[in-house]
Amino acid sequence: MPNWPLKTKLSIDLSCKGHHAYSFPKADVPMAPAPEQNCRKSKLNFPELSELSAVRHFTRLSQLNFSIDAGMYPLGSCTMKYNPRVNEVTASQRGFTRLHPRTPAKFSQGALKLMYELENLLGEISGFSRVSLQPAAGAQGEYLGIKMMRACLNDRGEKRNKIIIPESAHGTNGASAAMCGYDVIPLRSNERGLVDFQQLDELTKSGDVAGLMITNPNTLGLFETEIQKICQLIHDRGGLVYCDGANLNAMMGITRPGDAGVDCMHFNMHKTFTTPHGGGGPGCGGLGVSKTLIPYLPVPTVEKIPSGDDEYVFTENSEKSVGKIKDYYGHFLMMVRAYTYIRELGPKGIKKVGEDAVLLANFIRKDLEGHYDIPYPKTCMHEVVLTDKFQIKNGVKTLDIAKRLIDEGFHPPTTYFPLIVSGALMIEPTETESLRMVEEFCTVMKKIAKEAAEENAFEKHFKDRPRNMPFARVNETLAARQLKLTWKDLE
Amino acid sequence: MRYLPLTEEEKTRILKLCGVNNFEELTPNIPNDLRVNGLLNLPPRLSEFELLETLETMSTTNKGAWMQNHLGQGVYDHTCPTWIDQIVGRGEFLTSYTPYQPEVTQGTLQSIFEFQSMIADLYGMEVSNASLYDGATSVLEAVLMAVRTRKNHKPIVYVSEGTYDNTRKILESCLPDMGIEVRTWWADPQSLTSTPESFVNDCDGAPAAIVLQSPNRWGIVEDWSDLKKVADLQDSRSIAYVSHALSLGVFSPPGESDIDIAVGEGQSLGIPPGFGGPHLGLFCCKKADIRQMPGRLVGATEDARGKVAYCVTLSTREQHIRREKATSNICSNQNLMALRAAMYMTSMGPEGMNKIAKGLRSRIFYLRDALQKNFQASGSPHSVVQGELFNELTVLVGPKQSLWVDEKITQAQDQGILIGLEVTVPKRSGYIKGLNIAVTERHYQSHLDKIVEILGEN
Repeated sequence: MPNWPLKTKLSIDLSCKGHHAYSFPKADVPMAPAPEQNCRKSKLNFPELSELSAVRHFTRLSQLNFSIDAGMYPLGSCTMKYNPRVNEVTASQRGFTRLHPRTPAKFSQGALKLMYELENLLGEISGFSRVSLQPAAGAQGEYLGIKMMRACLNDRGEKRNKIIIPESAHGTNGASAAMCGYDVIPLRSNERGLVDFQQLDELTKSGDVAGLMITNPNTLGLFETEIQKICQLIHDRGGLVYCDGANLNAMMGITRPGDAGVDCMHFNMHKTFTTPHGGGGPGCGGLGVSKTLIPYLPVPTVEKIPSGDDEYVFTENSEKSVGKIKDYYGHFLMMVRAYTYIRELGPKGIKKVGEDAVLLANFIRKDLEGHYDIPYPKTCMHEVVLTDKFQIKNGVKTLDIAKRLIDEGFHPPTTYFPLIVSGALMIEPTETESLRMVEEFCTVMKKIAKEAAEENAFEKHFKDRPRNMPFARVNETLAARQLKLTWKDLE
Repeated sequence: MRYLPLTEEEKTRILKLCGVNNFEELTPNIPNDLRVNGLLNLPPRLSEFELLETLETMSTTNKGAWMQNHLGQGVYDHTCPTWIDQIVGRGEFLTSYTPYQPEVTQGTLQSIFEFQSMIADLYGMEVSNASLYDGATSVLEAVLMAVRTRKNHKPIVYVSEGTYDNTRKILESCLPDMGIEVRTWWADPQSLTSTPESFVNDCDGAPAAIVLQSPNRWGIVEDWSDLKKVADLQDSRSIAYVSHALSLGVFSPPGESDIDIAVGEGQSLGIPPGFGGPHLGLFCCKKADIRQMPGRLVGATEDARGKVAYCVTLSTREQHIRREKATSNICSNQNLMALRAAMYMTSMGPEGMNKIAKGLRSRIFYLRDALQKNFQASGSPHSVVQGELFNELTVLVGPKQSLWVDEKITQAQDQGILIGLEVTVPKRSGYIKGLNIAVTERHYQSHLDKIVEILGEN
């Protein structure tokens, strides 16, 4: 981040009357008279900037952001890996960007082929029989998966109203299940940090459980070693299994959720398949499903014409489909990026992704051993969970460690998640970081642990962090109290 | 592998540090019968050069992207200043995480704040969120919010007949899960707009919400004050669905009619059609309802040194805190799209927004007048929709002419033109179907004359 004093005025405060930054073709038809009614009364309170002023304003704003391109993001469960630049080039081709979603199939064959092939690539990576690319983001994938499970159970004449979700799950799981009309039943973790099989057994005896939403590897970074047994139990009791695919990165080329008996799983393209995180979106979902759920896929689906020619069409002929959940076909331009990435990697690259992600996380686990408490110390997949147990005794908590890291040029890890671990610091390096960078991160983490052990540690090292950034600690309580949400509110 | 820097030597070093001999020993939790045997069946890797070639071929096969394009129904091939593509593409925007750490994400946060300010202003509403997936999702979330805030009403929503088919399909597949029923606010068969007179309450009680889309799927601009009237009859929540954001450059925004929840599609604000996405769902409401609003919100505050700063606020509505009790399961916003829209509106300013809207409206009126003149002169069984328009119109197809639309679409394609989309029209209007035609600022008079030449009788 640059250290010159950055002006952060709002664009509206930079406004100069009469300036503009547009250049669109003028209408060469007679101007229509203004509407007789329904005319806009209020004048727009938009800034007036020349193109340079606009470019400069947004360039300066960008400089206030931390980003993967600028530094390491050890954010657990977020998989902040490098977003290849070539993805941006392929996704900005005119044939993709300027293609209307209702273009007849004969004039959009390339797009259809890309979607068809991407579905197959994702199916092979995850072990599912079919993939829908319609979900706009992971959360919508969850929603779609649970909706399809519900349709399938309804079809079997089963009216089940409960979904079991482990306490360590992402918050979206419960919210998505609730949107499908289900009650959420929480499930404990056992002392090894895995699904408590005995409790699962008890909970599913009642016959009203529609299914389980499991995260694998779970949010403690642990592979659910009994995954097959768990799926078998749920199936025996008449339910279905949803897998949260947030942590698919750790399994790529190593093991496939579809093979373990899972019925469906969403993809997070921005995590696993390098579409840009974009400061919060747009995402790109995707849902892999087992044979059982294929009839319930949303429409339209892309099909290859069986004639043998390389020709593709959309079809809506599906009697049991859950219908439509997203306008058109999903976030197509994100699919182009994911497709580009998978084609660049090939089978060897995909396997190396999974392995390297796990290796680097394990390096962190071993290197920080003794410096931080590691509640599940024996093994981990792509991420490792630490806690502030050692440091808090001396008055330094997880939040302080997180904000301290910012002054060392690292984005903080995921904090206070999963909720079942007190003072959690969840670290995921991702495979695109070099070992050298990861070592640097560990060195800083050890230095911070040492600082935290000093006398008067908080006052000396942690108070008012970050200290070296253009912005000091931001008052989030004040924001919620005063609720100034537009520049009109600031007047 | 350029994205995967770990070498064999480094791998060995890590395995040794962990006290194991190989990767399998490092991951003892994975059952052996679940391990992938060898490599996955994926196509071999491509070099960057080969990738570019492959994707370029796929792209150029999409001939539709080079044709004269009049496809609309919520997605339009508008222009966008080129600086926006380049500045959105800065790594600091592209590769930044969700701004939960406000000290290092002021760029994203301030740009969302500016986006919220301009969208709320465009809609004439008090607040806007940081965006949702798309227009249809915004309508869905608006209905859920309306039902949450009208617990003593019937869980029923009336949706105007002029609402897009896709949006209606999404509502119909998602709302019943939550026990909400979708009914229709019919359109007047002559004007093809939904009016207080054409509203029939057949639900034996007060419906929780009423949705009106404008411009509607036939291209006609509806009147928000009619929505307000109908909603006020039984204290239902009024939901305005603005299908084309640029239309608010000339037409009265929902806020001027005191609408409760105003949503819409923001694709026309500098976002390419992109074969359907990502686009931009807009969502505005009144301050009084803000705690029931879905999606991310950014508010102004200050940092410890007293400097103005921004942060995500009212997160207690959101899924990562409230889990199954959250106002929505959505945890992303369309951030890069919202950023594009903010840049686009900044480029345009108040004058540009008005100018482009006027230009679009003038083009569509030129086309309507020309088509109408031709149909009347030739005694054609077809006609064109009447009333106020923005950038779309619908040719109403006369009886016994069921093949006409397909024939004209094909005839136009042969000349390199995507002339429009078939839409259904109410049978009671006396017409059998419609051909919907959109124009953008890319179209000159000569393009429009070409349409008249194809559709008219000579």
